[in-house]
Amino acid sequence: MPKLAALLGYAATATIALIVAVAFYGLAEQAKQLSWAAFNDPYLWRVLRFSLWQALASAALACGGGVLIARAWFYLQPKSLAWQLRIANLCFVSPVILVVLGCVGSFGSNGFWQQISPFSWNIYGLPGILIAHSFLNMPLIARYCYLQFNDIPASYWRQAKQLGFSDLQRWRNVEWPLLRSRLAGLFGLVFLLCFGSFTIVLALGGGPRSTTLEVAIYQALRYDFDPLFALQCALLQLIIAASLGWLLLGREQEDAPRLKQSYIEKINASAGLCMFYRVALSIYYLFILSVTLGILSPLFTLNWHQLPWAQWQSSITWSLSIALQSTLWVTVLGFCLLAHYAHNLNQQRRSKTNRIQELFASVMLLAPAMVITTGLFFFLIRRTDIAEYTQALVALINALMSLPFFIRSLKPALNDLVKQYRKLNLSLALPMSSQIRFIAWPLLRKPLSLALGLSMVLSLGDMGVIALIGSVDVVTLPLLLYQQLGTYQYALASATGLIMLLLCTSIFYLLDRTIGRSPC
Amino acid sequence: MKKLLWLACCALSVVGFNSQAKTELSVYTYQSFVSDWGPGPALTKAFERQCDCTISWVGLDDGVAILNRLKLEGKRNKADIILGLDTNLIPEANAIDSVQAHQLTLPPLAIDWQDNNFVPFDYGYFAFVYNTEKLAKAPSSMQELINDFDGTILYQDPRTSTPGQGLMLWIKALYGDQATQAWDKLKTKTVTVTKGWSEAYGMFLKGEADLVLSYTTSPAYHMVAEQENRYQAAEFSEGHMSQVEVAAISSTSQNVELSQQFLQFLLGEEAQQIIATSNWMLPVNPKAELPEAFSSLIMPKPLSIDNQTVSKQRQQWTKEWRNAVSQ
Repeated sequence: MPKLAALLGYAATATIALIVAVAFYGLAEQAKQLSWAAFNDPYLWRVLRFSLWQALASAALACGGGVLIARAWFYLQPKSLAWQLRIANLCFVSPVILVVLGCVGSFGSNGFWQQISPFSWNIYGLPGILIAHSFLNMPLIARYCYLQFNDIPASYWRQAKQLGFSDLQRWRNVEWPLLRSRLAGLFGLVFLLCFGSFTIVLALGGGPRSTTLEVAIYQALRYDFDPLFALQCALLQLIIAASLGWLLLGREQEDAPRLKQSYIEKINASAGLCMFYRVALSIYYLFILSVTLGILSPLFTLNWHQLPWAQWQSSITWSLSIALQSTLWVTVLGFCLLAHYAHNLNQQRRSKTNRIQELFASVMLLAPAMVITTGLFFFLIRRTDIAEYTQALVALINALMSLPFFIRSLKPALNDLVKQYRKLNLSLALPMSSQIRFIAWPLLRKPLSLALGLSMVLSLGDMGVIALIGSVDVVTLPLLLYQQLGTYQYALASATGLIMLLLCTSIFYLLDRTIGRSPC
Repeated sequence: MKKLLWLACCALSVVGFNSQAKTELSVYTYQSFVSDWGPGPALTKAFERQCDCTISWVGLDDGVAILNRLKLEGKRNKADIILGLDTNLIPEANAIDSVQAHQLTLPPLAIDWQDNNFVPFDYGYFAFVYNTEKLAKAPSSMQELINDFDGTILYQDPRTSTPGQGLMLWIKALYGDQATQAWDKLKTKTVTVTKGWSEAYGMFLKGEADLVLSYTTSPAYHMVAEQENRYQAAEFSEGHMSQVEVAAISSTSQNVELSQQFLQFLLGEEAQQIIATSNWMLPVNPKAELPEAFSSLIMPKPLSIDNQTVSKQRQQWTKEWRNAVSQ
């Protein structure tokens, strides 16, 4: 049995390696025409500069704002905190195209902010990109930093109080040193995510002026039919993402901090400071609320008599079918990798293969989805009719994209399981089936339902892969939403957004009711 | 007995054949052609009345996107008809062997036409359209637009749309080597560059910009369909770039006869009238009757660059545009 676990692990790793290898082969095949002279293209460097610049600005905004919000939460301890933390998680996993819709709906030229404001501004370009990136990442950073604040031992706070630290001193001597290392990793992660941002930049970029490498790849293949340029962008993207990812990966702590119910010394911040934090929190809540309402507000102008039911029906079918296939893939791959991981853990071995497997599981952070997709695209276009494989291909790449999240949500529970029950298992000598049925399943079902839900929703909301290799026939919900946004049919886009929201919520709800239900 | 059996088989196969779905004519075109307000729906009705077939439209972003799609799909494309390229793209479409000779005798046309593969189905002149109630005086020349105009403009991406490409050629025809500087100045007035015509025009109608790149015939739409006179095309003294939109039979088509029938239909009076009053371009068949509004349109001096030059330089010029506006 243990051998089987190792075998499964290796098989999964080999599968992922094969996909990556094929993608790289596809890129290499195309690279024959590549020369150094080709890189002497001012546009390429301008795109690179903008990619880096917007990612840097987005990461700085998310981290700066996130720390501020975390501190405000920590000092004020609002009643709704538990909810706020949950919402913060939701923001991060919400389908990106919905966030775009929300930004346009609330901050766009027809949005309510511009209607009540005396100024007008253009959301297309850097402002829109920053707003959308902040919505996705700032709450996540705030949540992590808040948990980090909670990890600061109570004695530190007491000491700070005894020494009569001012607010600034407390920040410099107590909070910042403990936050710093963690924040650096988070900054890098957000930078990487924004650097590879596709949907937002495509929908809110507005022309060649604000284009990232990922969008440039798409445009080079879809607009100019310039495979060489696509390849150049993919290579740059790969080099930067891989080196950054390599730096980041493995540096993070084993377990993310979790909310503890420890006693928190009441910090008597000055009235002025409290006021400042209240204002900051209000602005933050208003921001989250307006993007959320922005998704639905154009619904008021919807013509309810003429709705594209047939289009919706086919889009929902496509989306669900791709999401289901992708979840199937991710479950198989994920469980194979986790089985091997648990097996190693059980043997109290932390082998090198574990680290390598972890890298493969996070392959999409090192080699971005667009790069892998481009590679597979080049490989297939020379050999077969890519349109026939659209569904399977999109599902597979989506699965690889959600694999790191899938594994990360199950690992803590698996760690607990092995730590707590290893000895019991050994002494009882239960057969594998009973071990799984009576010990593992009850412990894992909750995180599993979350992991499944997460990967389904990620796949359902993904637009990058399908936009690049999709044929005209396969229009998924996000793609339909993007098309409606692109033709400025905000009301219809809003209705499509509502359908997406409902689908995502029902997926989480159904999984929670079936798999996630606690045993008692 | 054997003969009887053979006959029965034949009969059965004929029955089987008849019970099959009608032949499907697949047409690659641009999105606005097949949208609810475009000529697509009306043409479908008219053509399906005279053929035993159904038309399946594949609406791509815009004109240039059709060519990109053909390059991407190569011989695996599923098109019978390719509709919506313009004359500037003909050499490239021929170079990738995407079309075949139509072998038709064309009716007398309003424009001079010699081509074995493509048939023209409408033509027009690019122009900047403005709202006379919001903008008292539109620029009267490209020179004025680039140097003195202090309003905002919307145009389309030359990499995906034929109007965007038209503007690119227009600027190139007027400014040649100085085109980069012209784009540089235009950039500051540009609200956004959209993927296709419909996006830009939709944004303009919502009041997002003072001028939008469209056609001299666009005002006719507002006059006929909305009894609205406030939208007008600005006449530029240097002349306007002209565009002829064309259709052809795909080299991969399995339904050549039906495709020929469709092209013939496209040039007929009925289809030409539909196209003029829903695609809002000038008909190539002079017999097509036009609404009164068409006679009030500006008739600019035509400009053009020959196809061969365009096909050789297009990629280079697109890069030049891309570099200029991305700065």
